[in-house]
Amino acid sequence: MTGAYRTPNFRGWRVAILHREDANAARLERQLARLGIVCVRSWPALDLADGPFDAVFFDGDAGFDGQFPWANEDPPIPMIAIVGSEAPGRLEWALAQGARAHIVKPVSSSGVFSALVLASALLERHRRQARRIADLEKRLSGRPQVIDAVIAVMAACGLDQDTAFARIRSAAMNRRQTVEAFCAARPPADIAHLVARDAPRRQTG
Amino acid sequence: MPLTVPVGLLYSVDGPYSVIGRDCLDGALMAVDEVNDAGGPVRLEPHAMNPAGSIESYHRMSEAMLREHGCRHIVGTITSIGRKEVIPIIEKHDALLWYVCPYEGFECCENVIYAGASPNQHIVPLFRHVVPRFGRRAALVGSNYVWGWETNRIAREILNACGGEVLGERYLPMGATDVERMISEIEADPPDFILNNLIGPSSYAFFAAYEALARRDRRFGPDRVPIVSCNLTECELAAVGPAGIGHYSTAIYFESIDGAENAAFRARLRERIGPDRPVSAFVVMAYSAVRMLAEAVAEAGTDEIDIVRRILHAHTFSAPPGALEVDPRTNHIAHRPHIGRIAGNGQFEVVESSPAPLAADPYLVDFDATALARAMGGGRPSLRVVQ
Repeated sequence: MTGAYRTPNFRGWRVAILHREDANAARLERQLARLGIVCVRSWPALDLADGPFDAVFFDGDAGFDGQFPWANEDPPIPMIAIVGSEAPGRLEWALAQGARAHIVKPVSSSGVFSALVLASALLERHRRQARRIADLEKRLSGRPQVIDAVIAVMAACGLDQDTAFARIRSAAMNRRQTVEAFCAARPPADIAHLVARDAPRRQTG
Repeated sequence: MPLTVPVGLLYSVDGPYSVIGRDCLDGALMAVDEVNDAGGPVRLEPHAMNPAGSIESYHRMSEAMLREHGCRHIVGTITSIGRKEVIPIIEKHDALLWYVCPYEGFECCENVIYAGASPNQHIVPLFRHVVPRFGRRAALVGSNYVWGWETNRIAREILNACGGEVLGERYLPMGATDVERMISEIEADPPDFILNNLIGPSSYAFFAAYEALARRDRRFGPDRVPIVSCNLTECELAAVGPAGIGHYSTAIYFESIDGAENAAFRARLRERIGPDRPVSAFVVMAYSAVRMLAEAVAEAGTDEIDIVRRILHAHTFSAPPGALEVDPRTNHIAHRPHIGRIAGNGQFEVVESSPAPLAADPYLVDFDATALARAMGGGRPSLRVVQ
């Protein structure tokens, strides 16, 4: 759906409307139908047996903890709050459910398409960032082994700190590994040995 | 005793799109007079106001129509900026806005009847005609607001899908006529065609400058690199002048389309506004909207919008472009798009017509650029030849 110049398209989506039966829910369903979306209306519980769902519109006013069958703030699909009360407590609750967009009551046709576009794009961005953070955290946790390796290479090869690190990075790259993974996989003495062996080959190659 | 129904007519007959505003107002007033002269169960009481293209006036004037003149129906606005300005007031008073111009879609207000073309009824059929005949490399020009931006975005999506290319995308402020930079970029890197979303004087200046370019450089001109538009109609051909001849536009009505209803309408309009005045989709749709309004109010026995809208959704209305139906799902009218080439007589020669009316698809739900590219025989190659 994302990408330059692509028209967002939700045709064939299945969306849950978690809201008591009223004119707001009816108008929302009508607008979603115009976008080619099939709706399942339920209240108060979200029945996953009716799914799978591609997104959820949920009542921000009367919703309560434990309404969703997944951990708060980490929903697997775009969550859009239907907001009447702007009391900070209700907004805080909607945020805690992982809302990434909202529409206001009384619900009208305008705003629904934008909410879907924003919530889907922001969830996708959140996922990309979460993957990146997990990757960085993993690399960060490998830093002590990198320091051990640098010290070992400095001692064994008589290099300064920067050159020792550059040699280790080069050895890791030759094996298509990150520096952290390379250093975590073998004892510092082995790394010093590998770096010493790699060095002349790089010079002649 | 006929039911008297006040109707707001909100058109800018001065300002940068005054030619279109004049056509819309004339069409609407012609329908009002015909309804009143017929002596039927409904008498329309027009309240015309002229915002003169000043965006601040739209708010004030529509409020006055609804609050002071008791209108429940406003026929009006031309640009999307104007329409978006009026919609909150229309919603607040639970009135109905009749919008008759082509627009960029992505809207579906319960209190608006969309009588003009949506993108699947203008830019998509236009590209379907133009790309296979002229090529996949286009220059995009437009006036600097949402109509031009969004229509050009759809153009870009279609061209990307068929492996084409956008050579340049340039905008001018509304009313500006300094088109030299656009022209010199086109001259430096000739496209296969030019998509024109400029409006009013900007568009006229662009046609004139392009004609001058074609005179000094034989690579250009309507036969080789045509200008194609989604909102250029007969009412602006006099302003464009001979510079327009041979170029293309799409519309849901051209004066030259066949049909007894259209012929009769043309004759009546000529009698009313003069033999030399061309007939455009704007005059026709404003006329048709007011006729539909009167017919629905007559049947409802009231101008109350819930009942009127229900009747609009259920009926087929006879009109100069052909039979018109309002889609109950979207409040948009299904249309038969036509492609026309500007002839020398202030008319379009129709070169292609959709065989049947197309339901409006305001959110482009059924639009698939890749499938369209395949249908045009220009799908993006999955492997590129390395040279």
